[in-house]
Amino acid sequence: MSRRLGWPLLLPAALVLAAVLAAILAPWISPASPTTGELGARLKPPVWQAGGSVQRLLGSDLLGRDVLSRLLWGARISLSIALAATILGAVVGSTVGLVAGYYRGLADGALTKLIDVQLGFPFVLLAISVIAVAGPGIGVLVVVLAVGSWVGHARIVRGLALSLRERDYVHAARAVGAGNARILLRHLLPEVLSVILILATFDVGRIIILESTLSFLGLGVQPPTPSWGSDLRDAAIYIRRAWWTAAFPGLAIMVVVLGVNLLGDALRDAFDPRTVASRSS
Amino acid sequence: MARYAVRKLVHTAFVAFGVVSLVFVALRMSGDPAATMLPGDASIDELVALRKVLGLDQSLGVQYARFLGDALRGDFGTSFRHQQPALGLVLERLPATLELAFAALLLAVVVALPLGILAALHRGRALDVLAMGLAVVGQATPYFWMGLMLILIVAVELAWLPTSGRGGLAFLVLPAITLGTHFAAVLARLTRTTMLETLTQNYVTTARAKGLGEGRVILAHALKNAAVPVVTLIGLQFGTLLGGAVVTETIFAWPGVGRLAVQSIFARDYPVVQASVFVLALTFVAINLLVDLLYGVLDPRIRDE
Amino acid sequence: MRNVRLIVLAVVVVFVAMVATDVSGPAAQSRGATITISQPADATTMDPGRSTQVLTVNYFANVYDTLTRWDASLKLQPGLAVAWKNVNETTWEVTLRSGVKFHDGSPLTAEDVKAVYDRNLVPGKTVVQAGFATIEAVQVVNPTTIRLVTKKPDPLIPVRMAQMGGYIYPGRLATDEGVKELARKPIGTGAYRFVSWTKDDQLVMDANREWWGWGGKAPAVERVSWKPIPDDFARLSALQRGEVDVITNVPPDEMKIVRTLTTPATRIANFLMNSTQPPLSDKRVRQALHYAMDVPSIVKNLYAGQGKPMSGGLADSDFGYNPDLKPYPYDPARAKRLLAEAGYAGGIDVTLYAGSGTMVNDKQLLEAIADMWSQAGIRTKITMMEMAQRQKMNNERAVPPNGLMLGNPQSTLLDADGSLWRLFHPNGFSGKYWVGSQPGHRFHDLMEGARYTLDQKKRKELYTEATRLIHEEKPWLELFQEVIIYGVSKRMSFKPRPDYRLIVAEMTVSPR
Repeated sequence: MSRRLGWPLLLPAALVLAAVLAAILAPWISPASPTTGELGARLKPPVWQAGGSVQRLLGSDLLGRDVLSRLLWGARISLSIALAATILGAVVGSTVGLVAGYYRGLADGALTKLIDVQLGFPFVLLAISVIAVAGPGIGVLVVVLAVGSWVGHARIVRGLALSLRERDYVHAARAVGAGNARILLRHLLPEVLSVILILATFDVGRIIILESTLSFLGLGVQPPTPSWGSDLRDAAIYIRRAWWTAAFPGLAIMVVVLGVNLLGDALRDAFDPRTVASRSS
Repeated sequence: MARYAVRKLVHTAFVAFGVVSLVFVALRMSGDPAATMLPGDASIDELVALRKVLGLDQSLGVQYARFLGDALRGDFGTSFRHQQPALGLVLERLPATLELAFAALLLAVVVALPLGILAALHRGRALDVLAMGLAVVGQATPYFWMGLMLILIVAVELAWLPTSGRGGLAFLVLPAITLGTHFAAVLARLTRTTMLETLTQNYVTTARAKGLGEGRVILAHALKNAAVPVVTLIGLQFGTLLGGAVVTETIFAWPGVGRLAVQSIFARDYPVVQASVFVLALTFVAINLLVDLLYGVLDPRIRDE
Repeated sequence: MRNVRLIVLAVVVVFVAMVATDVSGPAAQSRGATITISQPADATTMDPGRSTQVLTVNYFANVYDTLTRWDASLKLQPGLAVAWKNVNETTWEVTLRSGVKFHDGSPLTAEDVKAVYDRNLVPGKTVVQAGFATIEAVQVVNPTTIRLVTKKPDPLIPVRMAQMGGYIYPGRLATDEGVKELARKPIGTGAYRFVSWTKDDQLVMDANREWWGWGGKAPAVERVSWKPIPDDFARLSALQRGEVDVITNVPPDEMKIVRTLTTPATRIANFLMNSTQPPLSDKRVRQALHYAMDVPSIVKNLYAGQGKPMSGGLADSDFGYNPDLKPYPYDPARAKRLLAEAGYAGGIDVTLYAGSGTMVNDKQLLEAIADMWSQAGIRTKITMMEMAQRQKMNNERAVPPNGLMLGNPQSTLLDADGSLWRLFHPNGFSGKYWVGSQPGHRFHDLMEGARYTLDQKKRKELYTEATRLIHEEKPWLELFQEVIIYGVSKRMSFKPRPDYRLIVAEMTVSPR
């Protein structure tokens, strides 16, 4: 595998790292509580506009809460949800894909049908149905978002497994008497790891957007927990009067998703442009 | 070819019913439509009576059997909320959703293909960076955000187009842009990648060496190669597109299936949810079928796979 | 390459065909003024027995008539009935207006009224049965006279005839098959007749020149088009651009950017409380909850001042309203004192529940209250739910102890019986949560007494005492009386009704 480190990789990595750091450090660097608001100080502008104040660097939202604080704490929530869902989806999806692609036969047949069934179901409706059954909450949200992403992993990893299992070294390993599990873990998994990593990177961005869409429908993170998605949704109607309430969460989402996608691109270029480029991003 | 088509159809039917059965169970675990429909002072008797009228008093197994039997004859029951046949309600709205999805795809292809090709041709230079920058930003914008911004800027401030509703080409523009942006972004990036590969292929350098005009070379060969990935992408992304349609239809008051499905889930209108999911699943599979057939037309090599 | 070109051509043809067959409906093809009204949702059905939602009832109110009706000042007026009186304690005789025709030309007779009311009496056939539950039977005396026989003396029959669910349609359609047709193609006696309906897109009504209620004047609005727009921002934008004439559900924060008409409403914003267990079972704790809330600040900041803080359980539009009861002032110190007296100096834990979309800024309302309460030691958890789950919790009477559920109940009869008692009755939403609702307690006895006596003066006395009890015991968390905000275009004018009804016949349009 060739690795090329350089600006295409370092710049987005730095962006993402900054967001992650902000999320981790939020309890210490946040100037105010994200849930306490002064009703009398609603919709105040950022510090550089008339009416702004240093206590509210980025202004206050519709309940008088500090936008910057909500942004920082929101990073914690949005990013941890996205990360958890991505990891869950990647682990489940790759496992399923490997098993289906390597063992073939009945397992493969059943799993492929399952994947097709889920693909035939628009994700948003699936999400609403699941949340309707289980009630809203961060745990349910993570599971639902993971459900939305495991299929992508499964399909691609299955395809890879299908081709890899015919490789010489796999035949050789079998001839020597190595068990299936050993072959899977020691030979196939390392090969697909880079692909999984790239897919997962793209997933993070997708999931952050999905979370905000679910929040738009009222199914996302519940109040008073801040999240970029639900803050964006609540602020949409104030876009004219108080642009800062919507602009900053929106910007945060865009910057993180941008960073994550560019990172994925760079990783893909770095690892092996040929095998991965033919799959869709 | 015929055997292939038949196998695909069987697969389609299986998938569609699999999806619907899943929904059937999930819905019945999720709430009580009789409770949603009655006002607060309804007595327990009324609740029981309404449940009986709606057919919800029987066991899950019996309900499922009846449902399957009816569904196979094309009867998805009567909507709890609207008192109309559920399948009819969904089919009424399908053309609107298809029109929107189609327009979004068309717009996306028309914008993304040239963008991707240009980016590949000017690789590493300003145009490439700009084009790809736009693409990534497009992918990073939630559907509802794009929709609201478009309404604000184009419909209200500039007053170029109507704010919402359906009724002709002018009404289609903003929703189509909203729905098609993600797809366009992904397509642009994919096109660029494919073009980059193509440009280094032997036959291109050969053609160049032969002295054929650069423009003709690119158009003829590159576009032809782009066709297959575009079609693949449509098949893969159609599900996401249908999902995005739900949000887009809500914002733009577009009378489509997505909006109906969401409302029905919130209202626990089982027959309509089941019918919508069934129709959407069928549509999705039909699109994939179309994609497979198009492969055969576009590239005979693939058909033989 | 030829294949690709063919495909592209096919695509373009299909697309053009799709857009060309796009029809938005008859729109502006009438002689007189056409207006467009936009609510957040389309009517779910045009069968008036199958919906009690305000948005859908607005459609009914224009196409159908009831026997009696409330005018724009909420005074009871004759509708399809011109006279009504008690024949004895349990029988009312109602005389129908003569010469009234349905939109399909057939005459209105007592048989039609009987068929509609009979359907309303059967559990499961409609969703409005509860409002007619006191009626035992409907008898036809002659084609213009009916008798309503009640189980016990019922002073509310005159207003029961005006409530939603009492809309009259042809009797032949009151069958299971008939109502399916009615749901799609309504036929009533109302000021506007149904023209066409593209679901979720547009429903068109034309003025019914033969309507009995024009009073000799020509209809000001010839055609009304109902166009639902679910998203708040999109709906507001449509008004700003002049695409619609009237919108409902205007966010209070956006009032300054459009022209609005407002009026205090018949609904109150409150939380029902499960006070069956400590700490909420102690009256002092419930009072503390109120002292710890700055309701005027909430109204001013979250609702642009559109709201009237209240106490006593009733909106000022309801019979039985007691104007002497003043809302509790904001006094966090007193709240803490009360808590300490009750033995909770260390604070208490409660949970606020709400269905998303119950009212404007509902989520923010809960967050603001939770924030205020935390200053007084009341630790609050917030649970926002989907409407279906909230309905389920309400219908199963499953709000947990020390839980509070946001509500804005309708006043169905403009009478304390149809609002306060409807909810606190042991069968009602709040009935199980407060000991005072149970038989043997003073409040219960007062309300039951008022329900079954025909003496209006006596009823007023009973309600005066009952509302005072509510004011002291606070079994509900009381906030404010709602104010309806309509956004209107410059050419519209009408007196906004407190009962949330949009009656097009009451609207006038100034020439463009």
